Amino acid sequence: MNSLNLVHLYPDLMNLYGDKGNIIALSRRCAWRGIDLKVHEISLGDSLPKDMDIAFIGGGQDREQLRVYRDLEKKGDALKAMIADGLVVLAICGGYQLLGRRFITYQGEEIQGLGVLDIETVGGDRRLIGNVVADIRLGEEEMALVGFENHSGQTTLGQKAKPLGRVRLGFGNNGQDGSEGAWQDNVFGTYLHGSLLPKNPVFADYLIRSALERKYGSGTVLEPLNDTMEIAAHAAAVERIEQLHRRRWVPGWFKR
Amino acid sequence: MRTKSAIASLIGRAGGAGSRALGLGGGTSLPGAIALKIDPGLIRELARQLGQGSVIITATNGKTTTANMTAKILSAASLTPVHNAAGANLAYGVATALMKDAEGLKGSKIGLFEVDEAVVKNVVEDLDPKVMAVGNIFRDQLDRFGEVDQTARLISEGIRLLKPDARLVLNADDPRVAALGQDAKVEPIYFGIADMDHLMGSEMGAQDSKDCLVCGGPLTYEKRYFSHLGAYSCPKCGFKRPRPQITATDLKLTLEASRFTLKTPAGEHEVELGVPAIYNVYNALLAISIGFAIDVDPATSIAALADFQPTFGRLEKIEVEGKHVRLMLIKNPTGFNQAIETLNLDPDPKNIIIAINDNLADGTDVSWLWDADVERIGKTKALITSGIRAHDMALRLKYSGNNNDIQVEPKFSEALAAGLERTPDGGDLYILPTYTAMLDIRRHLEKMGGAAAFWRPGDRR
Ligand SMILES: [Zn+2]
Repeated sequence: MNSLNLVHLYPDLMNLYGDKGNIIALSRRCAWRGIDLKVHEISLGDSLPKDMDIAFIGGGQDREQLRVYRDLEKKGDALKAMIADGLVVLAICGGYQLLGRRFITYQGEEIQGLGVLDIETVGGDRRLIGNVVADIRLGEEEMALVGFENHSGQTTLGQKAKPLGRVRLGFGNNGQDGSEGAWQDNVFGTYLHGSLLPKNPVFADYLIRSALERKYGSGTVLEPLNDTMEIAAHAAAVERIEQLHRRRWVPGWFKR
Repeated sequence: MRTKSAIASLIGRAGGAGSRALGLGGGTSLPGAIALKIDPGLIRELARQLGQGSVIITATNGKTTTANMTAKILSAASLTPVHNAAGANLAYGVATALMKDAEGLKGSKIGLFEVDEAVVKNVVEDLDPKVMAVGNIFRDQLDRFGEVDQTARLISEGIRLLKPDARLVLNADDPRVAALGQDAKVEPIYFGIADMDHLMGSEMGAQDSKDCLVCGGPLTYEKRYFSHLGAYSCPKCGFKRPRPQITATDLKLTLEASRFTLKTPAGEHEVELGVPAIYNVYNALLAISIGFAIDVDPATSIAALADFQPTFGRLEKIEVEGKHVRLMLIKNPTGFNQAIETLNLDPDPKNIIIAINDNLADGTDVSWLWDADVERIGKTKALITSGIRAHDMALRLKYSGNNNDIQVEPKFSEALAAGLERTPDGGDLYILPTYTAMLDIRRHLEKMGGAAAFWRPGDRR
């Protein structure tokens, strides 16, 4: 039986907006195929376990994010070595920002990130909030990611990182250049929570397959699942988001 | 009254009546919205006239129920509450409530306002309340407020503005709320539950408050009753659950009622409430504590709560086609967990409809479905998802490892038909809707003849 080890970084601190749904999705989709996925939860002061296949980090509040930055400095070298060795990483929102080169707060304070994604984030004065549809190409497959974003940081990509997707509806990295998320080697960062993976099973499986191929060699076949409900939920979400954007509703008195 | 305020009141009331007449709704906050545009100083001006001052209640969950309980207590104590009823809890709603009674705010009139965390500071500034009560701080409607931490900060800014002779009522069992008492200028009145029989498993609950608000260190729990509510302490800085003056012990909870022993400095009393579940015990304790803060005898408060009925959509029972439809509003992970715990008081396999909308009043971000402990839904006969986000909910259930068959019926009419069909005569159909889903579902139930006892937001009872 194939097995995978997933390290969930700071599950107690970086857990906003249903992030645990992503772990649930990976666990179930592995279990349904008889792949033994073990989840290792790692927080402040813990050392990183060896032989990991997938790493996940979610979004957090500012206060928690700062503590995580400081702790991540200590784990930095070990994590970078694993990433250089092909570790599959999924980072959402605050976790995505942490993996970049640096983060400049709205007050102008500069914080060094892990630097495994060639991105930079600047704190903004407004939050980018709403449903998102972003077009993404995974190998030969073109598809749309659906999710929800809620961030004030605005991210720009450097030369080495390519956008994970192109925003069809929503703001994405910065609301300006149409890019959403970043992809560099096996590291995937995105602003989409919502939860991302249950409703985007093709992306979930892409991560699982990447991790299996790294461990067991290319040619690993991923047994197909009955995704009727996932596909229906994805389609319903795209339809709802298109409808909302057609209406362009935001009653003025509800803005703050 | 200043001329400007008087004119603002007049125009605002006319606007609200016009809006109702045109069927636009908004009667509960539109008049205030219009009037505040004309005179931003209106709330302050009107509140100054209140004969008995005002009480404000804030909490992320259960504000409306608590405020309705408090209204009954105040009435029993011969006060006349001026109440922003039924969830119209922004500044507009407060202004609207004050304007309705503008002819006579003197004498026995006391303001009773449920206030959103986000506007607490402004409302305290304007109302200068004699009691401020904080019930709980759960993760709530994140897409509206940005981040959770913000909530505690906004409330503490309100507390800082209280006059030294004001009373502050806080939930001792919620570390985030109790911490608000740390640097308050007034001595808080704390309430809490002290009952070892109603502890929950450590795995349960959307625990969104695990860190000490004073020093940031991790909290240790000696016991937990619900989510992050319990007896806790911080090993790092020594912050711990304050000793409550007002407690509930010997809890006995069923689907129809809650019984407990109330202990206050004024003595011990047996309490029976016609509403179920532990969070309603907290709501009642908060209301009784508010009464205590303004010298209402606990016996009077308890008598006032004896015939308390569930608030609009908070576990109402409606008879339709010879079946009991039980509505439980859900709006965030905590509310969802509360609903699940409540229906788990019924040991039999259940018929359930979960109806999720993502309109503004529901919260536009449905990611919170993944933070609720859906895994705790037990065996079901019918498990139906409905609403704009019926498919998201179905997926959440599928990934919870739930082995029940899940039926997806986005249209409420079809979900209700399916649910009622599968419910035997005299049986229970549980409906867990978000706010706008609940409004729609009630409309359907009304058409089906289950409407006799209904009342709508804005109605008084
Ligand atoms: Zn502490």
